[in-house]
Amino acid sequence: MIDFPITLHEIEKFQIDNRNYIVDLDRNELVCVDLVVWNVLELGGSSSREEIIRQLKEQHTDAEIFEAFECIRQFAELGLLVSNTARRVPNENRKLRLLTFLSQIPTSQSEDGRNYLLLEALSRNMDITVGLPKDQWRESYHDDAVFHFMPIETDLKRALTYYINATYDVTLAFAPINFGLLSVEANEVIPFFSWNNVPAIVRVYSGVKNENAFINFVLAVYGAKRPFDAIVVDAPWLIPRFQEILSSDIDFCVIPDPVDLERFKPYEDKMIGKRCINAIFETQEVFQKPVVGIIAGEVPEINYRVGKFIAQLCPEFFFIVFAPGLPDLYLNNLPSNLVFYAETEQFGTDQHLLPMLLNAIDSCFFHATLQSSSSLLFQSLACGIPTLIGTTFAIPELENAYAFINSKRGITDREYLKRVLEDLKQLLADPSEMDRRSKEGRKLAESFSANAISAQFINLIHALNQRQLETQAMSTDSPFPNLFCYNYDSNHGSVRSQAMQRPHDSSESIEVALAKELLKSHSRLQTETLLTEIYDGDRKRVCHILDTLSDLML
Amino acid sequence: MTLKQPLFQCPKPIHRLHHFTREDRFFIVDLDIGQILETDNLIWEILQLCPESTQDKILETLSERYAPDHIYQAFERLHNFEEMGLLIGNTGQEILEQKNRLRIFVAAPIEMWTSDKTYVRSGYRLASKEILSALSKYADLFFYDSKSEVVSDGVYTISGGTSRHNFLFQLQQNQIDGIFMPMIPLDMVEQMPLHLFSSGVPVISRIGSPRGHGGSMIDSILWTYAAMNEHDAFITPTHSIKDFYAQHVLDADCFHVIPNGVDSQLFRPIDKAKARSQVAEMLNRPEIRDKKIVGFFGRFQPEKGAGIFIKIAAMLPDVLFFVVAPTLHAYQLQKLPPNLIYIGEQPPREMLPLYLNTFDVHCFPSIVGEEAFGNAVLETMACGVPPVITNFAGLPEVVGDAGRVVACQTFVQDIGSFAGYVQSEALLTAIQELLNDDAHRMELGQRARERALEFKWDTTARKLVMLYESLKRKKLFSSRTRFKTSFVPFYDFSDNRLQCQSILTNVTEQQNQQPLMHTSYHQDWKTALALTLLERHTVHEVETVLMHIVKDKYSVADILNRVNGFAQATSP
Repeated sequence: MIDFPITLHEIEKFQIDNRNYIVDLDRNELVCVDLVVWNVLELGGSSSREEIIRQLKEQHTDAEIFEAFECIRQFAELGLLVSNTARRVPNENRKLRLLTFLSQIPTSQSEDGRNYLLLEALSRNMDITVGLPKDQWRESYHDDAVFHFMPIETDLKRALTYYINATYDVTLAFAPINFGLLSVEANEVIPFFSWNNVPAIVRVYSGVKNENAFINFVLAVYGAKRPFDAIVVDAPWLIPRFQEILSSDIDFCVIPDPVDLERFKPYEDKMIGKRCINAIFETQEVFQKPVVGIIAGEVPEINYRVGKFIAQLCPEFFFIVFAPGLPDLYLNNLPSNLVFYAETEQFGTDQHLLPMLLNAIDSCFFHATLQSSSSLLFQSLACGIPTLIGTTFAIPELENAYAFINSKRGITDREYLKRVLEDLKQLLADPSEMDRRSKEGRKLAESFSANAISAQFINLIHALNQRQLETQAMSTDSPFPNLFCYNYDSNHGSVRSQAMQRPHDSSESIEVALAKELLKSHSRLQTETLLTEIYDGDRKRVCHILDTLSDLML
Repeated sequence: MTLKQPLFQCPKPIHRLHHFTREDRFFIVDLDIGQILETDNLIWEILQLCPESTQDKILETLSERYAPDHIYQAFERLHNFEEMGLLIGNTGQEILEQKNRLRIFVAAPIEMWTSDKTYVRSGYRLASKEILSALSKYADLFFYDSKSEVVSDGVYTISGGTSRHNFLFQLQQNQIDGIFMPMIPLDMVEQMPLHLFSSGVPVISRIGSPRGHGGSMIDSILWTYAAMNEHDAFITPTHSIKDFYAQHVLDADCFHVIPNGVDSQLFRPIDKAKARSQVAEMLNRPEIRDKKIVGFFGRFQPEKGAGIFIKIAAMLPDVLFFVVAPTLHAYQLQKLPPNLIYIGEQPPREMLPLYLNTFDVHCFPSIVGEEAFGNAVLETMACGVPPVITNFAGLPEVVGDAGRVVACQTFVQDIGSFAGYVQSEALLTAIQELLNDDAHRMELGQRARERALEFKWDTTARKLVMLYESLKRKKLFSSRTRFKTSFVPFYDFSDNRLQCQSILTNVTEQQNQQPLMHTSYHQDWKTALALTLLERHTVHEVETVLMHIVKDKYSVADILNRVNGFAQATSP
């Protein structure tokens, strides 16, 4: 795929005897081309693909013009006539431009309100354009102070390529928030990477309902991503899970969602929150006992069992479990010192309800899994709630401030939960430690202000653009692909497959050649995946081949 | 001031040229050769005058504006250019423009055309020359050389491409319809002209030696097989080669059988008594006049059956065994039976029929791995001599029922020189039977001549031309795929392992013509791998890779068919 306008080499064009010649002075080569290619090259330096088609319509058929595009692509492959398509390179002195794809207009009130919050934070330092599907588009949409809007015709994704290349520094896609049983959503995201040569960021959130589908979605995206794309997760505890599956290092970026520090802040008086709990759940116990919050994941069954177990084991505390989407049927026959709060979306009917409830808590417990959302944790920290965190990899920055509890069997491990309760008792009995953790937590949350998160994204985008330049400079795509061929084995009287390297002919093993060939068009992970499938699951052997290759390439 | 006579002589025709300047730099483009030269205005002015004027006239014309020294220097440079085949000289472009015949680029040096065939020893080489000469009746031939020029009517040289690209330019400039590789190079690593196969015009490679030369040939052929496109082909003179390769590769259809011919005007029966008496006199061997003669015609080497021939000679002392060969090789050091006569030296080609006509029987006991056809057998048959041959490689296809075919074991796996085994007794018996039955021998001789007449070089050339036409048609039907493939890692939670899920994304160059209904399309990974590789590799290369992975011919054929069907159905 070649993007127009193209950057031409220094060329001289002339026509003699009805033939069309072009001299490539940079390469000292002469080519003779069809008139349609000649015409496309005439316009190609300054016109877009559509413009070229429109201008040449009278003279040539569409098919001829497309054939000419293909011909020019082949020239580019040979390093003739056309330079690698140049892209708008960001510079430090102007605002970055970001294009994001959403299925509807972002608002803080909708289910994906967190997308809005992130975009709103980014908009403080960047120009944000929201691309919307054509069928969602309304003529009434107008740019506002925060966003530009643009209709995206999904059938013509590629038509947008040149525009995106020339206009944006980065594209941003959001992973779906709800996963169905199948990971079909990934198939929609994969082509995303091939649309254009602008670095792409895919935003992935923790706190998912269907872990299996989520994992396969992320794997698919991770496989498709180019070296200059990034997957940005909101929580570090996603990484070990994927490392385990792929048995290799994972280069996700970790940037949490911005925390609204104004809304989520420590209240002077915890009674406001407690009265609130009293009003909602009609319980007096909240005033009589220390209140312990449990920030739970997205699996209702587990939340229910864990909550019930802890509450029965420790009647001296009052527990409020923040359990998103817990169905009503779980709300019967609970111990009197346990309530579930299911409306953990950031904005409910009352913006201040969630901060108020968090401020009712004396101490909080958080267990990090794929199902547990990071934003609730950071909001709780912003409210200055002293928090116990399960698993050491959750938040490395807090290692000094927090005693971590590790569990081999996850949150449903009884012995683990008993230790958690012991630690909670110990913590609640130590006011100075409570105070220290409260301050440390708030300090950490402050580093996730909208401005700070926006700055982290800007650094990432600059790094990705830099990496793209490096990737282009490093690409040494030879016009001579390897030749896969048979070789006669006279010992066995049969032929074997091997490969010949071009242009410096020497034979090499077919797996190395295949790896090289695949790496030209696919990511390392995709190549690894396919080769592992070919070589009966021998990932170690495949990784060895790929490591050797990447050493050679450097 | 005296100036030496310039080496550069005028008037002379010049190539088709174009000039332009770029930021004080001056360029001349040689359109006949496809070269760009950075030079100066003076050279250009001289070139403009060159076709009409003598060098003295040019000097006179230009000396008003240029110093004579400069002009002489320019003459020297032009002389150098001329030597390199640049800018100056007749390239035959004008003749080309008028003709309307097939234009074939022959991937061989011009020597293959110009060299003398009087003493040629290899049947493969000889056949190459004969085919080219027959082909030149139907097609213009272009050879590689250091200069572009007209060799003879319809035969041209084009200067060797300085790069792959320059070569393609030359093909395009000369409107080449097809490429012919008359002899596949033995050592492909050094010589494999892979760029031929990326030219877009049909390439026909001729196999004349299926597996000889210590195994180098088989690999060269396999590499060619890998590089060729659907619109390229092999030609082989007999089915034996096709059958040999069909055991190793999937696509036997790219091997087309086009038999060699024989010059039946040159090789024809002449009065045996006269021929014998003439040869007896020349060699000073009077016994040639009246004894029965078993002939050997070819290179007198072990793998061509020389040893067997000597053994049989020793067993039949009353018969003469006459060796027509370039040399006796190692056998000249041995004590040979007294009834074995060696011709003494390689006779010129025109003399061969005279010698061959002295034979009563032609014994051709070859078991060499490069026996594709047996030109020597056919030439002797054309002289009306019945052959006794081994049932080996391409030989029986040539002889048919016009000779005695002796059972022979073939070692399919042997790629070296000895690729068969024949019992000397069986050959001896066949020879004796023919020698003892005059009537049958005469009848077979008659039949041999008749059969030889069926093999004409003209037919070979016409079949080759027809093959080019059909390959050109085939090219129109070939289709390429344009899907982006993804090999998505997929964790199978029921099996607890990572798997590969392959997805084609429905992204095409032509926005309005997406061939699939859905934006993505699941494929099994083998098909997807094949589709991926087809972007940059030939079908045969993909076959190689799949054979490495799947290791089963039928499954691979199945995948390739599926991919092909997919490509056909989805190409715009």
